[in-house]
Amino acid sequence: MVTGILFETDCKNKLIVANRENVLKLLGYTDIVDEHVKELVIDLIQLSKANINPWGGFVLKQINKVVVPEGKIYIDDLFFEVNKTIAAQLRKAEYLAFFICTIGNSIERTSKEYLSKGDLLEGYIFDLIGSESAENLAEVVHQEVMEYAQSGGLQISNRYSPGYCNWDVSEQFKLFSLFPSEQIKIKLTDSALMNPIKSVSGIIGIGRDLKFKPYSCKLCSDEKCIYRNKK
Amino acid sequence: MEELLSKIAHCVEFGKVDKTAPYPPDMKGQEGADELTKQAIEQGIPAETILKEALVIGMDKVGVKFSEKKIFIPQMLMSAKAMNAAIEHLKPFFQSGEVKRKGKFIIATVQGDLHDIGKNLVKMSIEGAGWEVIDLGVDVKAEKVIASIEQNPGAIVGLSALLTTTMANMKNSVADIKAKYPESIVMVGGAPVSQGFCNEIGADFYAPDPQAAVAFLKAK
Ligand code: B12
Ligand code: SF4
Repeated sequence: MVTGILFETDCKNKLIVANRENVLKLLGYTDIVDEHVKELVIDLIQLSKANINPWGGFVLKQINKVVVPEGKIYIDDLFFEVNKTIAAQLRKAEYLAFFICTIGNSIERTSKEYLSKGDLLEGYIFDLIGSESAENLAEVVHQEVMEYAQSGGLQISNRYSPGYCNWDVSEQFKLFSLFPSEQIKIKLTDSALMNPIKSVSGIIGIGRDLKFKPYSCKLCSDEKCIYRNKK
Repeated sequence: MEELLSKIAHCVEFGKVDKTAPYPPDMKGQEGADELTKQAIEQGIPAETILKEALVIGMDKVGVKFSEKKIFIPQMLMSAKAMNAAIEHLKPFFQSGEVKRKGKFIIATVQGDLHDIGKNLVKMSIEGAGWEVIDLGVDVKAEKVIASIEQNPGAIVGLSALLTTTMANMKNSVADIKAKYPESIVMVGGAPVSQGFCNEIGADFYAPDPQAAVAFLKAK
């Protein structure tokens, strides 16, 4: 494993844009779908393709130790307070891949343009397409980390993000400190917000004896979480 | 007059914007909220009557159907668009003071936060309920909200935050606003915000969604 340097992922050539069924689901439709809305979603997904400029990268770091009762993972001279749940899942990890990815701000801009023209539905759908695409991109980055790990005979974990599973979002500052700021396409603001908005960050464990496990959501009260009970 | 008003309410309820709008399919080619409101004004129907007895009634029905899960966000957004088309014709009457809206609502996403879409949905619903909404945008400092209250005495304030880090700024904003205007009413919302947090920071009301915000304002 080559640690400490930025790997830029090859996401440009992978299909990232949101899928129609997911967008319709986010609009509230389950079985009966309004035909007009369905056609609009198809058209806007098509239009969005030119508006998605995916970029993603990851940095590998060797883990010094994972202390489950403290909920901490030690790396270099830093420690991440990921809390007990995440620490337990990563107990057997030898390396962590820190990743950040974004679809750029073009969709966001398009969404705002439509909203300010008064085309509320179109603006809203563009926003959903952006969110879904950002999630898809995180999945692509996850796959790339897996391929890299497997080429070295190692396994990977699920991915965990600051702001989820009781991991405080302010830990984004530590996460971003591991990236060479001049080479990345995301800025972290003073309030730990990533700009562009449609960006995702997180960690993925890597190790010989690591298993990919679903999130352990039984004890969590976050009913609105999109990862809830996701396999 | 009755008939025209109920036609306008129908257009708002079903999201028929204007004659060229393809939505909803069963009203294709018919006149929409845009043309009918213009006609109503030309016929001398008072703007206030159009607002209260057509537009707000249409939007009320939308709100009820949405909370009963009979319609989804897309229909609600189409209704809001139809409502806005009608409101365009009423604007001169708002400006001249001939029509009074129910009140003023100042909305902003707090300092350090750039999230826009949730705030916009809230804004739209509150406008639909007959309020004048002053949208200060995103990344808004408390001073700007305070200046806006100064210009619009008695306006109710709504603040939005989407990250736990910017919830800290929400807390400070509420404190600053309350220090300057202890009487002001501040409503808070956004995905990570909760009733508990609202109580903790001394805000007056927490709304998980636009419908709850509208219900609160109705009771005012
Ligand atoms: C889609 C989504 C994303 C998308 C898009 C982001 C975006 N916001 O555009 C993506 C995948 C990119 C993403 C990324 C991240 N996300 Co996210 N995301 C969500 C999700 C699922 C929905 C947000 C959304 O757009 N909803 C739709 C809009 C319309 O709803 P809304 O803004 O909440 O507004 C509604 C209400 O809240 C209310 N409302 C809003 N404002 C106001 C104001 C007033 C006055 C009133 C009355 C009402 C009101 O009315 C609105 C309409 O119903 C939420 C969880 C959830 N289910 O809400 C998490 C959530 C916002 N994300 C979260 C996090 C942590 C992140 C990341 C930091 C994760 C990471 N490390 O990568 C990043 C941050 C991105 C950044 N730029 O910094 C957390 C934030 C809380 C926290 N811990 O700080 C949430 C709450 C999930 C959670 N853990 O519970 N996310
Ligand atoms: S629901 Fe599951 S994935 Fe979501 S925050 Fe809770 S534990 Fe994490």
